[in-house]
Amino acid sequence: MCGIAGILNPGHDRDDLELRLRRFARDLHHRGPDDSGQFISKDRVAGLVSTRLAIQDLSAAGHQPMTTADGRYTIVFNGEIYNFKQLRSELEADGEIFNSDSDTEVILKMYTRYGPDCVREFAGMFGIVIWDEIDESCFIARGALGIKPLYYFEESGRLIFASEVRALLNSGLIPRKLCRDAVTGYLLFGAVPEPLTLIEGVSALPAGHYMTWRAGKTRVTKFWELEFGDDSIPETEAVRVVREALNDSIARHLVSDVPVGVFLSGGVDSTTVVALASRLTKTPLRTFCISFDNPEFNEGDIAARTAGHFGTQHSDWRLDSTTAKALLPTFLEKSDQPSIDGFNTFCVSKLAHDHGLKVVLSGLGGDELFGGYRSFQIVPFMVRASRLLDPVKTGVGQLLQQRFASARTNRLGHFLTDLPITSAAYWAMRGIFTPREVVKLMPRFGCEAKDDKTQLPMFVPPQPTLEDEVSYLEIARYMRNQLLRDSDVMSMAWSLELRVPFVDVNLIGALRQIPARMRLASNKRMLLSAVPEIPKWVRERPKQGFAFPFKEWLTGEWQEIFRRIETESPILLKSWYRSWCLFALENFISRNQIDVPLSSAVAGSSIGAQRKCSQG
Amino acid sequence: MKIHVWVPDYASAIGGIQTFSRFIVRALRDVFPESEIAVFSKNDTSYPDPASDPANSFTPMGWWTPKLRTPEFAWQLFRSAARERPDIVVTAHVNFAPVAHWLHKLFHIPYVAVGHGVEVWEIGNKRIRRALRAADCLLAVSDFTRLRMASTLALDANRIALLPNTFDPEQFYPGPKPHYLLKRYGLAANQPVILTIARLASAERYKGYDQLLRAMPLVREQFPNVRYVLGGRGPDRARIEALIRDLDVSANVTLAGYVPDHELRSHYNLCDVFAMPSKGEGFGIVFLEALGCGKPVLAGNKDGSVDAVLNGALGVLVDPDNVTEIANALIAILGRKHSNRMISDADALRSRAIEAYGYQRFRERLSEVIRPILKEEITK
Repeated sequence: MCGIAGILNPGHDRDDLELRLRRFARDLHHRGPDDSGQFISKDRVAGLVSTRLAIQDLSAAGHQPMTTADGRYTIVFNGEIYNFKQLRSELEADGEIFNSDSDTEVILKMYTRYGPDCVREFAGMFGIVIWDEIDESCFIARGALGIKPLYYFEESGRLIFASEVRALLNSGLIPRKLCRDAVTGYLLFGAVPEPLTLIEGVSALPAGHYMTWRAGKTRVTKFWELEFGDDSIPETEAVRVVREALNDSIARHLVSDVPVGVFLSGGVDSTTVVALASRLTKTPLRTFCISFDNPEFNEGDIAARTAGHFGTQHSDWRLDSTTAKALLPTFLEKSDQPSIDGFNTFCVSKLAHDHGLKVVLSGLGGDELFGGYRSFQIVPFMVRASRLLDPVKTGVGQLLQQRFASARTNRLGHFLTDLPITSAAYWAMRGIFTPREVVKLMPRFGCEAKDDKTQLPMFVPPQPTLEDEVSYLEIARYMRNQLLRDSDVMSMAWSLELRVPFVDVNLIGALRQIPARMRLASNKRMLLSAVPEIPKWVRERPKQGFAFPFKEWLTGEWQEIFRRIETESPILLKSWYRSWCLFALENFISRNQIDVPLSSAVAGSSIGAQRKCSQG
Repeated sequence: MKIHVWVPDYASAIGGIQTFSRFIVRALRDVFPESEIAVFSKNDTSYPDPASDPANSFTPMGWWTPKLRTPEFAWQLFRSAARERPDIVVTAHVNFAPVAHWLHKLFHIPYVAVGHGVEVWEIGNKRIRRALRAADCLLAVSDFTRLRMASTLALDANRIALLPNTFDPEQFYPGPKPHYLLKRYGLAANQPVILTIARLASAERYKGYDQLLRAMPLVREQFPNVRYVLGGRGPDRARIEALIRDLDVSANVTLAGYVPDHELRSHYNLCDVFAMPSKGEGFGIVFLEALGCGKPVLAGNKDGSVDAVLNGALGVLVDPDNVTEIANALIAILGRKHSNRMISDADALRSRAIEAYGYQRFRERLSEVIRPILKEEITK
């Protein structure tokens, strides 16, 4: 787990390369405080930097950048390859000799032998960059499920990349200009849809893709896609497959040379991780939970009971509004790209960090894989109903988009005027602002909206059922753009490696063969059958998201800020998460001094005011 | 300039017509960079990846129940074209041609129709026949299809222009046998591999995988460790498994299941020969993709495959019904003893395939056939 960055073909900046790399190292220090290093190629065509959080092989032998003995290949790598020990023993059987116990060296040897396709054999989360000194080319890959980020900026043959957008911005080599399509996507969904980023010209390397760079030219290749199958399989067999695959994944995710903890809530997913992990570790597991006084949000009691049941060493942090409010400025400061979420991971990561942990497991992904959201029932229903209602639905849709209706009803209205397909219904369920509202909001951020056809078209690869399409969207949109992005940035803010055993290519590979009617059966029935250890009090508890009592915290000075956002808004905000959405974007813009062309609508707002301050 | 492109499938299915449709749109974008291209797809239910799709707009209609989809799609095509008055309509499947014919009669919109394979070898439907005969431009993806199409429409073959299928050499290129696939299928790097990729359904049996399975005992006599990798999924699988048992070739056959797009190149690079002795190919894009990867191909001599392998220059043509001939050809290819020496030369195969069927050629041909039917002021 680390931060990585670099520059290829620096051109005029050739002489400043050390300085540029040092700046990257400074900006990525929080991701890897244990060690850092830089590499500059012979002709100064490439500069790579890494900041390392040492988890596999704590010795200096795991130092990055790491170069092969012959000096040809140099790697910087962020993430974990959980099956590295198995790959290593296969390589050793073929006569390879290793100098360290790190997974980095395994990646390097795999690449040397098998080329770019080696990434198809990695089970894990990663951003990998390998420089080839002889060919003067570079290989850049991002893990199949996009758990770890990797951003790049390409301009006239030069390529700059980093683990965070902020680090790219601070390089001083990229214009601080907002990307119109990304702002649109952010306002529609509450998180920036990959591969876009809020900065014009900066892209996320798509999950499951690798890029090769040679003489200033890049080529991007897909190596993984999420496609569910439609085989038939007896239910008992399906349960056995799920059990085995989950157990394997959790066992792999426990591989570490430092102690591993678990984020435990009152939900089925984190309980599953604790139930299976506690059987696999010799020492008692460490578990962490955030609890609240407000019983509506509090899961602390259930988590404590579960922890006692499995004999873990449990830590609970009862968070009150004073502490939470005191933490908000730090949270905003540590954010990379905004989203409407992230504070919860920020707090629980701090808790684990304060207890001296460097690695934690979380139950993230369980809802997406096993049908834990209401979207798995509602979206297919909406699609089917809308297809039946076709002749009259547009009129009804127009009506439901009026001001008097709630934000959710407005989105439903828009869906009725759109095509009755899964991605449209999914947006109506998960979205924040409607396209019409986005058109009115865009000028606030110096962006012009073309027309009201602003809804970003979504690609869904062929899936056997509507439910599988929902699962795809939950995984490739909500989870990837919001949950995983926030998890990475917020855990890294506390130099903590967050591992997500549900988000695993081998586990998903095993689940693919189980048909949706079993895998996505309501109330996560498949998961509950596969893990009978989950105690009764967790099984029988009604579904509740891991939510924070935000609304009641936002008093005092925060109330002021939110009131201002509401007054300045050209549309009715209706819900606090919509206010938060605008607030988080404004914060990103002002904090990173993004160039917003000051239209009259913005000049009077806080962005305008802050811009004037920073210029003055 | 406005262009409407009508396709049966575009983003979400895989197959020859879908691949061809995507290339048509890409080539139209390259030939007419300023044009507004609207794609209408009958069977898609989601949008193509906006990051890589060259069309300006996309209308998926696959959400209609199958019974109503055809009339609803026809109505959508008609309504959109009547409203937007495109400068040209390109229909990637002949079944949509009657709609283009009406638009032509009412609004004088020129149209191009493309014939691929079996669907145009015999055309019984009178409206389709009339619409095709009246088309401003007819295209066929192979000479074989062109001649069959001319004969069934009772047209002079010169009325039909040739626009062969194409492939992307940047996507399909030679490489070592991928380690991850050797591992997945339990193969050694020097083990001879025969590959077919096809949907396993009774309607697709013309692809010849049965004949290949029957040829395996003969091939095995010469190459005891030969492996036949059959990629694809479908309802025919159980029957195929039974056939494999009956022929006692289980140790030499791997049913690889569905091969996703992003693993296609790896699979071509895994094999020593790509074999599909088909009887019903309009062209066979898979042959081009395998050739792009520098692999020898074995094809049937009774359909459009003949065009794909340039009458045998780029591959071995066999009687698709003759199991012994198939086996002997495979043995010759695997033993590098075939009389056509070129098929053992990966670089030569690839460069000849690019020269004949690379995207550049495709784009030029498309430009040549489309420009003459556009109004003069547009092509300037």
